[in-house]
Amino acid sequence: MVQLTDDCFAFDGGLIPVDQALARVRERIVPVTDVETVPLDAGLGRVLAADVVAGMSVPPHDNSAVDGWAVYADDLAADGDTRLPEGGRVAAGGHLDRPQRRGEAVRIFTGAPMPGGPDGGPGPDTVFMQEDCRVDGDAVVFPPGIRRGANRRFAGEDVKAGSVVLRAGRRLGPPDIGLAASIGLVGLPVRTALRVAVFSTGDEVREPGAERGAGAIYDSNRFTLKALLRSLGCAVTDLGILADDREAIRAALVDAAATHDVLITSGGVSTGEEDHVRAAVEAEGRLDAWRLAIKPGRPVALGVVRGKAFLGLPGNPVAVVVTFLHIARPVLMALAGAEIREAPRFPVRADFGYRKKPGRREYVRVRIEPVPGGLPIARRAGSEGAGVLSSLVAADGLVELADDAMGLSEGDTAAYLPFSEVMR
Amino acid sequence: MKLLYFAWVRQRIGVGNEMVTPPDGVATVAALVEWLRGRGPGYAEAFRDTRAIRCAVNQEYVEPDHPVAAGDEVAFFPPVTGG
Repeated sequence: MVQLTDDCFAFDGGLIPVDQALARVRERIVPVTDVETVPLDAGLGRVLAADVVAGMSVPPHDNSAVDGWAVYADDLAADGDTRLPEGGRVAAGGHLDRPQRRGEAVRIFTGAPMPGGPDGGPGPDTVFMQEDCRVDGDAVVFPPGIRRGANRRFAGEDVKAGSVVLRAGRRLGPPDIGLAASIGLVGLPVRTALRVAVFSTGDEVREPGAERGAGAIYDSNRFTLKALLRSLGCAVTDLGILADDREAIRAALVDAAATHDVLITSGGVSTGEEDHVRAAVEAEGRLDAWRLAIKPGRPVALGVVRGKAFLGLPGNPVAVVVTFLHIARPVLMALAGAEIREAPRFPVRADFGYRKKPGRREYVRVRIEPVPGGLPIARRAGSEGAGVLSSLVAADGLVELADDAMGLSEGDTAAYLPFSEVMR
Repeated sequence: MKLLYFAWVRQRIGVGNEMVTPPDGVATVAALVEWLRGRGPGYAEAFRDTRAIRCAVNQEYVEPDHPVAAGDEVAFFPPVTGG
């Protein structure tokens, strides 16, 4: 079992640009998960542990893309119809039991292998779609003008034997599973799921469903976090709301660290306050604070407890999501052995102006409205406040303003990050 | 004209936007792409397979034969995935 070194999150203070934080994560964080083989049906969403090399070509042989007739292009007249006798027939899963002669057409169906040629030479190179020619007795009449090679698929056109078809670190999606099946695999080597324990603290926080009482609020961050973690493929343990007591928290952390790879919480880890979580972590390891140059967002606490990663996100519900997307997610992916892929941004037209100072990256919650033939329009979504979770529900994603940008004017082209790209 | 690059196009070129003045003969998106390819290895890599890149001129999606002129804003980005 790989352990993290206490100082893997060490940082020498100051505001960290998001790109630099990401680079640091890539450099310092190593996978802590093991490898197992799973059947293809259990592979969706898992992290591939090793490159997959194709042991065969797909398709395995030249074949027809349509139902029609296989012909030699050289047998066809350039300037008039050609009449060729039908000499045989080959269906998908079958084969012609002799070479195809020059001057004959062979009835062929989608997926059927192209016949071979005389004396082991090249066979017919073109397939005429049945809609484009006509049968005349036991012959077929072909009009001129077809391109040599039409409707023929080459062996290896999809996958070449010996090539790497899927790379280690990739989270498997449905087409990846199909591709593995197409080269004859029954299972894939994947990383074991990252085991993450989630907890909340705070005397004012209550479990949803319990009686709330005056001054208390329901714990939403823990539920948001569990959902984000599950969408990343983590195995999640819910430790619930811990009593705001230094010793109880320390004991819970030590206990959880023994059987999990990551401990994560929100709120209660800021600097300077009476803070039991911080004290508990520091008693058993080390805590570093990363002040990301990002808004909305606050300092993110990153640390190590008994060799296991600890993440303390801000308590503000929107900041939980934004800091999760930008810091927690890359850290978790690195620990899981997954490739950290930066989500693509797309151009949209902003229908709002926005001013910002240079020196930090800022995100604006937006709804997207499609525009036929043009860039979609991004409108500000939900309420303005930083703590308003409903605005994230109302939003489709975030418009991203670069660190050095001074803002946006209404009508400007802006960079848009869809939630769909990062909440999975 | 102003050029904007997104996602892996931006990553391969190394910048998110720039102002350029292509030579007179560059009158279409396709010609612009051809000229950009020659600006460096990052550009050549970004525009290697133009089937994987979409373009918008002045915020409207266009095909490669669309004209470009001084003062236009031209954005290059991968096809938008649904949802």
